[in-house]
Parts: sequence; structure tokens; C-alpha cells
Amino acid sequence: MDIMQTMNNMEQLRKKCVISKVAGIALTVFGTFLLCTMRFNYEIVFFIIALILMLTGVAVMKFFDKEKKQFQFLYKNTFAKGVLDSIFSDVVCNWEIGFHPQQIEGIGLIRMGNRIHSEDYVSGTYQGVKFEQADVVVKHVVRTGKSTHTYTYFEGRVFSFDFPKTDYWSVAVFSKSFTYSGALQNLRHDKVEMESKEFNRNFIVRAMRPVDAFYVLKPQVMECISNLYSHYGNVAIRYVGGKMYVAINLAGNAFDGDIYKKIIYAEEVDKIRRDCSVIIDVIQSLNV
Amino acid sequence: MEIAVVIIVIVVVIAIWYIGVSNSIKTAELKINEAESGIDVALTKRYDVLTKMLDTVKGYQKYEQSVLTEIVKLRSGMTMAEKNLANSSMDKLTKDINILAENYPELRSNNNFVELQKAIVEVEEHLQAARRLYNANVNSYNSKIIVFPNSIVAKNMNAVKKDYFEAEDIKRQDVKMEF
Repeated sequence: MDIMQTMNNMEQLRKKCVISKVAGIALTVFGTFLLCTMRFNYEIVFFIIALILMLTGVAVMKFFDKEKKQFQFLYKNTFAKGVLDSIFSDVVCNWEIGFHPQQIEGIGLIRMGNRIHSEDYVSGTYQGVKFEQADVVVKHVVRTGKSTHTYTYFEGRVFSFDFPKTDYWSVAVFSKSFTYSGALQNLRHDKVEMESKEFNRNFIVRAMRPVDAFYVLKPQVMECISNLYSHYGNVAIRYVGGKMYVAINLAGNAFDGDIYKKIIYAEEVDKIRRDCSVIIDVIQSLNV
Repeated sequence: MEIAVVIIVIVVVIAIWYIGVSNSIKTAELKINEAESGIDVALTKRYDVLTKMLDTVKGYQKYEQSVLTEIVKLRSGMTMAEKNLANSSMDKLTKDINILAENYPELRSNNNFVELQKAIVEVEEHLQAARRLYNANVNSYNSKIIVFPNSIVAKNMNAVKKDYFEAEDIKRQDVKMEF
């Protein structure tokens, strides 16, 4: 199948998604409106119509979810895979899976909730540095009798890079805006004040041995972390066991297509390149 | 009666504050001592690697035995100024060994020497980390003891400003290292 045909298929799927979503919402809202405004003296037939409208709306929304999934899968295979292959080597993609919850907990950067979802696993090599990444969503749902509260602890991307140095224990850096920080595997990490007041203002550094924080966070690395923070916002980094883990709370998923926007090849490729640039930024700026 | 209660409250508050400040100064001093021991370890490691490097270099160019003993002498001193001086001497020695290696291609291709060069870079990185930790702790301690009213407690504890660990150019020139 050539690219034009694939794009046409995608565009059709995209339109189907938009129509089904609009129709689903309209039917559900209209059905609910009918139910709410109906008086008791109205005939039962109105009640049945309203109920049918609502149920149809829900069914159409379900159909939308299925179509959207299909669209995203096709989008990622068409745009993301190609761009990833052109930038990185040894690329392996699995859009269905991501990091295992235990793995996310082991990284220790994100507070664990009771709803953990991870997808869009990508691994590869850039300039000799192996990396893995996946989208991660961690939520905590609390039911208190009458009401249900959902706290989103993390919604973004988690990266794992090979880090050449091993002569240290564990060091973690959290931007102060990274509200739901993890338990760092319950190991004792002391707070470390770095020599830069500016850095201390924006970040919290924790290390099992204070000297390790100064060993991995060289002045130029601190500067690069500050740049990452100013560029991407909520950032958390952990150095442990020859790996560097980076969690960026972007409140969004990478490599996903926008179903409400017409597909233009060049723009989509640019978008995927931007998603990939996070990996390049980290590898180049953090001296991994 | 009321005045007595007020005085007691004031005295208790001052005592709690005094103990708090005194503890924080002691903790800061303890952190400095820990960081200083880190510098000692890193300097010793650096010395050991340099000794091995000098042994490897020996075969290529004759050097004076005083090079090593000078460092040893400097290391025996315990003050921070002397540690600074020892570090400067080792900086100079490393530089001299690298210049020597530039002139002897066979030395550069010697596996043992290459490994030692890597080791010295690693050791220097550790020393750098220990130095930054020490200086950060000294900075925090010095700021703590000079700020009023903490300075009153610091004076009673005989706490004095600590020296930073940093290479001083003038002292570095004073140490003559020759092959």
C-alpha cells in the first residue's frame, strides 16, 4: 500500500471518528435533555425515545473509541515508525504496551496510584546510547461513599537511558513542580543542597550519598537539567544502577495523531520529529 | 507574678533558640568533616594512581625521586591549605605526565598507561565532586555563623570560618615538579 492510499484511508478513518464523536455526544445530550425536561403526564413513548437516544449515543461513542484506536495505530505505523527509523537505529516499537507497572514503581520517580497504564513502547539507539521510552499514565481513584475523586499523578513520558558511569549509588532530581514524586524504592535518600542557589530554587535533589549528587550533577549537567525544565516543565530524573531515568509530565501522549485536524504529511512528520527531539535533547544535553 | 511568667517564657524561648542554632552549627560542622574525609579519600586514590603512572613512565624518562616524596610530604599535612597544595602538585604532575606522553607515542599506546589515564580522569571526577560537596557545606556553614544573631551562638562555640578547598595559582607555582 503506498503512502497516498494509506493517507486516504487515515483521512477517512479520521472523518469517521469525528462524525461518530459528534453524533455520539449529540445523541447522548439530546436524550438526557429529553429525560430531564419530561413531565410525568407525558406518554411512556417519550421516555422510551429518550432512553433509546441516550443508549444509541453511548453505543456511537464506543464505536468512536474503536475507530480512534484504529486511526492511532495506523497513524503511528505510518508516520512515527518511519521517522523513528530515520533518526535512531535498532528501533523497536510496540504501540500496545509500555513499561510494566512494577518497572515504573522501581524507577521510583512517580507516586504510584491504583490505575496505571503505559503504551507506545519505543526502544532504540542514538549516537551509541541505548534508550527506551513509553507513555505512562498514573491515576489514583478514591471512592468515598457518594463521590469518586480521580487524581492524576502523572501523565507523560518516561525514558530510560544507558548511563556510562556506575560508581555511584542513587541520585534523584525532582523539579519542584513535580507534585507527585515517587518513593525512590523506599531507600533512604537525603536531601542535598547543591552549590547553585538558582538550581536549589527549582529542584529538589535527593541522594543516598551526598557526594554522588555532585558526581553525577556536574555544573554543565545542572545547566542542561535547568534547560530541560524550562522547555518541558515538570521533570524528574534518577540515576541508579548504570541507568538514567527521566520522567516528563507533559499531560499528553507522544506519537499520537490529532483526529480533529486534517492530515498533512509534512506537518505530521514535523510533529513526530518534535516528539523524538525530547530523546535527542536528553542524550545530547545530559551527557549520557 | 505575671512578670515572672513572662521572664520565664522569654528565657525558655531563648534557650530553645540557642540549642537549635547550636545544633544546626554542629550538624553543619559534621557535614564539613564528612566531606573533608571524602576529599582525603579522593586525594589518596589520586596519589595511588599517579604513583602507578610514574612507575610506568619511569622506563621512558628518568625523573627525580623527589617528585613523589614531595607529594607524600604535602599529604602528611592535615590543614586544608596543605591539601590544596598537595592537590596543586598532583595537578602539575598529571600535566607533566600528559606532556611526556605526547612526546612518546609508544607510551601512549601502552595499555597499562592508557588504563591509568582513564583511571586518573575518573579519580579526578570523584575529587571534583568531593571538592564541590565540601565547598557547598563550607559555604552553608560560613553563612550560618556570620549571620546575626547566629553569630552570638557561633562566638560562644568558638566556631570560626572554614577554608574552601580550591587550587590557588600562586601556591601551584611554588611547587616545583620536574622529571
